[in-house]
Amino acid sequence: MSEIIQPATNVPTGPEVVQKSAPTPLTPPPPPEGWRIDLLQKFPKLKWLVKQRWFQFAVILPNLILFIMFLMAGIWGSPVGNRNIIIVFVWILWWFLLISIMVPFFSRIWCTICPFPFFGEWMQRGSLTTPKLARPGTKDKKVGLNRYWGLNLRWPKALSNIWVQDFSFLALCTFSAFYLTRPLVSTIVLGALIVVATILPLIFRQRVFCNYICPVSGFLSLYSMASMTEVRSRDYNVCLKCHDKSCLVGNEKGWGCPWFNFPSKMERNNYCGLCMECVKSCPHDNMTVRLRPFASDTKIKGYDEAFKAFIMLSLALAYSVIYLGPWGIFKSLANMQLGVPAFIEYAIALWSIPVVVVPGLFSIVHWISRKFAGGQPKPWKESFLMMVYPLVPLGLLAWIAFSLPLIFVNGSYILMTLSDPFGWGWNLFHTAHIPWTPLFAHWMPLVQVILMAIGLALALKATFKQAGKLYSNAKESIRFAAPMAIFMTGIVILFVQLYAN
Amino acid sequence: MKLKYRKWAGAILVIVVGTILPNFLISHLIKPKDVYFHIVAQRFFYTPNTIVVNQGDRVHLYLSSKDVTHGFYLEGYDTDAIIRPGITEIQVQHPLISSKYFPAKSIVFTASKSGKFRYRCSITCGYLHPFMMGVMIVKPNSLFYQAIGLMLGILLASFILVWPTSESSERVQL
Repeated sequence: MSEIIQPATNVPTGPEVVQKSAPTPLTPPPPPEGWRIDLLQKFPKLKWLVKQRWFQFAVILPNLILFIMFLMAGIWGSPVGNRNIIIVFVWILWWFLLISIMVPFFSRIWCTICPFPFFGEWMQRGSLTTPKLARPGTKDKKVGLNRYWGLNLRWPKALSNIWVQDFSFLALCTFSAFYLTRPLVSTIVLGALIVVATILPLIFRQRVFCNYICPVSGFLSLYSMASMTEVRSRDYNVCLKCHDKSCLVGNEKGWGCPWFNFPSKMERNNYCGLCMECVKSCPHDNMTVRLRPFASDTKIKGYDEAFKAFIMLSLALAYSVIYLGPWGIFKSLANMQLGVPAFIEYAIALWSIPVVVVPGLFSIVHWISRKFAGGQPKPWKESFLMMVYPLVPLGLLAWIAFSLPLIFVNGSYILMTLSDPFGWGWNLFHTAHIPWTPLFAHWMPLVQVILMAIGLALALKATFKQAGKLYSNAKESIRFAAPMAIFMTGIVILFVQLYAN
Repeated sequence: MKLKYRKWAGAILVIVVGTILPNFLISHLIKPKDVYFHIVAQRFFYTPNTIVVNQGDRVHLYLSSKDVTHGFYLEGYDTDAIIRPGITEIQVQHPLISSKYFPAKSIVFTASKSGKFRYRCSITCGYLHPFMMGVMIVKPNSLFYQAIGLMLGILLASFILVWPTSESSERVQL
């Protein structure tokens, strides 16, 4: 029987099957905290659906058609952003749905339907739906038991983390004023991503683009930790006795996990793209989709993930200043209206907040926490990463608070562009000429304050809980958490200052 | 268990007091007066970008544009205007009452509602048009002070919930 070796990096680097005599003993993941509802058991029709081989193809296809139409609109449609479907549907509607509904409730469901890796994966697998098995005695390129096309190389170990995603997202956000408002630039950016997502699978095995490159995937991985949906094994003892490990190596019913996870051991949502291959391939029907309490995964595993949390929180704050604030200077800087040198200064300032200022402040507060707690502190890295976690629910709520006014104020553009997607004067559904109508605009500060209050409550709950894991003595753990709790409250007050004053 | 309920009651009380208390501390008794502002619109901001008035003030807004045609939609006060460059007269509309615009020299209204209200460009004026906005603060901006009180209340409440007491070493699970 083959032995399955799990790589020791944060992001798994892919299943490796080597012939050895004895199987490696599997350590069971810790039992989950809080309630769980097995959705596939509760809803048999859902189970039937996700087990169909055509399931993912069927959900990607309409999305892909829409996406191609958006790209075309970016080239041939109106150059006016709010009259072009690519800007309105991608940056207003999609963004709102993604950050406010999909991620908090359905984890990385966007990755299930994302059209970016479609062509690359199709060519890599040589099949749209049916899994292919490597033929014994041939030169078939295989990962696990499945056969793949392309060079099938391993992704470099040094890049097997989300640092590239951290900085690619930051780089993309530096130019946000361009692609958020200019249809052609949006097409170029999204088109470039789809080209990279198509080329990489021909060189490297499985979903390296999604795991290591995609700028969207980086923050989805972080915030999916807070999500209320998870894919997990039902009973780990079944996995222990399983000799096939089909969820990892694949079989005739499903591909081995394209996300480089060992699904039966999965204890976090971070790198699960909800492709449902493990649900299909499991010979014991032991993989399932569960509903769970909000913010259930609490383990940040490396500085790359920690920096993602810093970057996301900082950008929520920076974007609230630039796009929701009244200050013309920031908009002019972001839009390069004041010249290239001024834009470079703006970029340096924008990068320094998440890369230097926030991590620096956080490190100082963390140092104070350790001193204040006294006792026998855990290693610096361990306690640092533990205490970064509260920024996950806080950051997610901050992004929802930032995104809400965009959809409520500019939502009427959705109806307009639905009728006239290219801005060519069409009126398909008789909604092309409805006036711009902001909805509940003057209620937004109140809603944003409520969202930030929820974010703070969740962050504080996580802060004390994480501190309790680091210090067994109650008073020490409270002393450790206190500076962190004050720091989080300070951040939230900054947001409140921006949203309500 | 009793201790747990007492702690939760204390935590909720702190949050409620934190949210309500600022309302009593900020002054409401300011005599209303007429206030005048000249707001200049240009891509993609207004000058001044923030105006502050007191609740009850009669606000007179004179609007002009420096470059292209801009809009001026004031949240919460059902007022929208078209500002054309080089023309002091503006076209005003109250969207909830009528879709018709009428000419006017200024926008005049009583700041009856307190809080934060954004004024936004309502006529597409360029790439960053959806983000062109300014802020009108009608004092007392109780939401802001209540929000600060709420956040501090949540912070304090979290300590109440986890604090170990002499009565028991029990820590309430948050």
